[in-house]
Amino acid sequence: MSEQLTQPETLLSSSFMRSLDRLDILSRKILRGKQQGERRSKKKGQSIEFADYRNYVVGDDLRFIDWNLYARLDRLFVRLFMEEEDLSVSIALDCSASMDYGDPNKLLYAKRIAAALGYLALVHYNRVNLYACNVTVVDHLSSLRGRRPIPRMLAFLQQQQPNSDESLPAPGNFEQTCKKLAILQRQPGVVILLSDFFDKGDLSAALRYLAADRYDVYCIQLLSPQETEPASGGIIGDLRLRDMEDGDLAEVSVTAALIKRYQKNLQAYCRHVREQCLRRGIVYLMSETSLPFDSLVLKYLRQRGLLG
Amino acid sequence: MSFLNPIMALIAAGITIPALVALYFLKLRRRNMVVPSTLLWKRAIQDLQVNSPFQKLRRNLLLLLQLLILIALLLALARPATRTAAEPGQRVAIVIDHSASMNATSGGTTSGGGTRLDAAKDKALELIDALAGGQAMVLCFAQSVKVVQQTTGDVTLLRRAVRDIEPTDQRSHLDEALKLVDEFALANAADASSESKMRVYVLSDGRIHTDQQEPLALRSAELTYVKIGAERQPDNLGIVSFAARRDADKPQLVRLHARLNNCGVNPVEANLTLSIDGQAVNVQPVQVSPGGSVQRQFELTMPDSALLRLSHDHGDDLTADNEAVLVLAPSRRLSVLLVSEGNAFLGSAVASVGVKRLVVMSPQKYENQDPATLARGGWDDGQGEGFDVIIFDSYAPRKVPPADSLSFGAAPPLTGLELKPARDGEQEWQYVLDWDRADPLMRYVVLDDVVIHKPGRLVVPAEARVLATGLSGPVIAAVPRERLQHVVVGFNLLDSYWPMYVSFPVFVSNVMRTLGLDGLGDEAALAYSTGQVATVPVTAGTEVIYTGPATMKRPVRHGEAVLESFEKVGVYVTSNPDVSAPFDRLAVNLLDALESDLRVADKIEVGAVDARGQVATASVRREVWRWFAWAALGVLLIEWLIYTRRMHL
Repeated sequence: MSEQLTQPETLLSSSFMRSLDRLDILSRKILRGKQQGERRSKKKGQSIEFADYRNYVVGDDLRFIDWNLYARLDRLFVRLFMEEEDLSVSIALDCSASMDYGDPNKLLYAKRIAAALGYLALVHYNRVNLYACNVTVVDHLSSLRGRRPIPRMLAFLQQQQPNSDESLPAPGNFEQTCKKLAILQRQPGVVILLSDFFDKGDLSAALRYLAADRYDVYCIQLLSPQETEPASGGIIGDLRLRDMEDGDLAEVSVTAALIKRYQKNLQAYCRHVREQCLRRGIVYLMSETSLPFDSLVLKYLRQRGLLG
Repeated sequence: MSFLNPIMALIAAGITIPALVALYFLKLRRRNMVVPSTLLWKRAIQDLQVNSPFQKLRRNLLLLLQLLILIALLLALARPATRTAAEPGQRVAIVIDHSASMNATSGGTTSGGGTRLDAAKDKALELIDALAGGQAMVLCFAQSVKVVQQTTGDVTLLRRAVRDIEPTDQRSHLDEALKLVDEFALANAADASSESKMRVYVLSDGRIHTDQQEPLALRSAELTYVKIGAERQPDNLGIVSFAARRDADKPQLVRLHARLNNCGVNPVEANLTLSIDGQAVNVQPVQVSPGGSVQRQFELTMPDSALLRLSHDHGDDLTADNEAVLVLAPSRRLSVLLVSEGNAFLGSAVASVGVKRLVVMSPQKYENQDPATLARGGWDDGQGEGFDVIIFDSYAPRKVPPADSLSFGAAPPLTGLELKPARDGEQEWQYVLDWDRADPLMRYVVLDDVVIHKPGRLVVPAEARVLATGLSGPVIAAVPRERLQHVVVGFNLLDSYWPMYVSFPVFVSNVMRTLGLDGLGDEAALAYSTGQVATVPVTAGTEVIYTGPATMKRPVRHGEAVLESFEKVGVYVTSNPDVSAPFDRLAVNLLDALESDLRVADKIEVGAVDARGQVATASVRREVWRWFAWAALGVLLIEWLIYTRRMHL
């Protein structure tokens, strides 16, 4: 674990936070909130924005009867207004061993994204839930709201460590993680998954748990340059490759042909993840950690509609 | 525990073990790398394998190789064996018979026309081809043995040696060859590096003379008798005996005796032709039953030397015995001088031999004679030309006798020869303890009951032959000296009872025939058999050349030329004027019933055991399971390589 990950200020610099203030997390769906907030809710309520009419029934508040309409039609109608509530933003951070790889490190990169997104959500009075996932959801921080819990959020992120116990490899179980996430996250809202999605299980089954209507899910796949270009990571020649998570061994003689085939397979795998996401109505985003972090947040995520 | 082929095993170990270890280390030398997931790498490997056009073949190849290994191991388990021409082993002696019977055309090479010797050579070449790294020596034997190639592993040398073996018309004697081989075998056994016994292959038809001796045992070698010529029944009518004798009373009358043997399976009818100096004088038809023999006699009046040739016209397998030749010596009878004070026994014994002339002379008169005139052809008294034999009765001459001599109770003054008087106190009456029955001088002489009163002690030179031995030493001895023979009897004839026994005139007769007639004895003709050594008197010159079936050029030493070991039958002629008749023409015949008998012997006796002949060939069964085991190992290595290369791509 590099020293960088333990310093809170390395996740978000103050200048970067200022540039984030202009942005907000967008949801493609209108979801119910829990408290009064800044988001339009499905609920009809007390805001100033007209929503609809309905027939008056006995007991309705007389203040909402449209009298002008009564004068024209001689019938009583009640005016309905939009409700504004807060938005629940859940960020799931994959802390499996495979994330502690690459230069820049994938986990650090994911933490910084989580911090930026969490900061944005809190600034706009949304409710933020943070989940650290490994074999399953191993830690979480729920119902943060307002600017005050920002340091808490950052500290939470800082303390998350990859599972690096080599003697007891604990492979990430994405299906189990999603299942637990769905149980913990009852509130409708935006769910953001930050992971490399290197899972030997069934991805489709895992994503099924997050396909509910109450979630607006974003999957952000992070890959290090060493994964997209293995030769740059020194993976060439006669090697015995060891899986970081389950300790599985593969004896390979890495040649140009094999690297080419690997890259094709990597692209195919990413395509597979994307297809699975699209099939479930999930937005899929992919990024290399070599991409500058601020560009990712300020440009790429805006382009892809997560931020606005 | 012994290793039959340790060098091969070491070489194999030297190759395979480092190769295996190297491959093992190659596998271990992979660098360890940690990756987020091996999922994609494994998938990439599988993809490449699936997409490889030879993937299917590769999988099948592994299966095929595994099957091959299994089959090879199963075959090895079944202990396969092949029949090879021979299993010669590490050290081999190939002993080839090139005697007369091996010249028979029956049972030659399968292509026809070859002799038994050719077949033996072919077999020997097969043995050499099957040596497989071993060493061999090649010997040939007939009358004597010849090492044609010393022990070597060079197949070219061995093959050349076998091809260069020439046929002879000699008799076969295996003993000498086996003695020689046994010495080599002992040396081989003493060599710590060789753990296998030497193998001796005798390639022969088994017609081998043992001379009634105990067969030799091979102490540290295994003998295999490879039968040659058993493919076909032989057909041979052979002249096995041909001799001439002159009549005692009419020396010009010559009687010829001939015997023919038929060793074939069919009765034979043939014409027997006798020719004198190339001119046929007598033709007789003969009929010989299978396995039987016939005898024929001819009478001729022939006072002078002549070449007598007897032949038959039956075309058979062996030509060497179809003809026999004799060189008839001129008729001659002995002239004998008896130097004695008077001895009736001796006089009548000599007279009974049938001498031409017997002159009795007192010692004093003898000493007055010029020795040169006493020698053969030297003295002319109007009746003869000197003497062939001089007999001294109890008298020692002052000078060495000029002719062959026989002395009783006295010794001629020869260097190293001395007759000492009997010692005092010795037994007065003595018997003869032993005598040499094989010597021509003692033929049919029995001295069992002869009692001698105080015999003298004979001191004989080294070259002397002791013919009889008494209690105090030699009693009768023959001393050769300058082409003459002097026989000395160590006691006075009248001091013994010998004249009373039959053995005495027999002894005198033997002496007369042997000494005076140049060893011809009763034979009137001179003939040699193949393998025999001829000593030819040459009066002058340093060299004598005989031409005939072979050209023989020999030096002359001490008035003699020694022609050793005739190889071919026929007449050898010299034009040298210094060689007198009958030695100017030497007749060499086979005249051997055993060699003429072409039936192949089933066994030869060696030591206490018989070596049974192997008819077809010296073929043996050889286990070859090692080949399959090695093949399995080789295929296993290949299979392992291919299996591990799956990851390499």
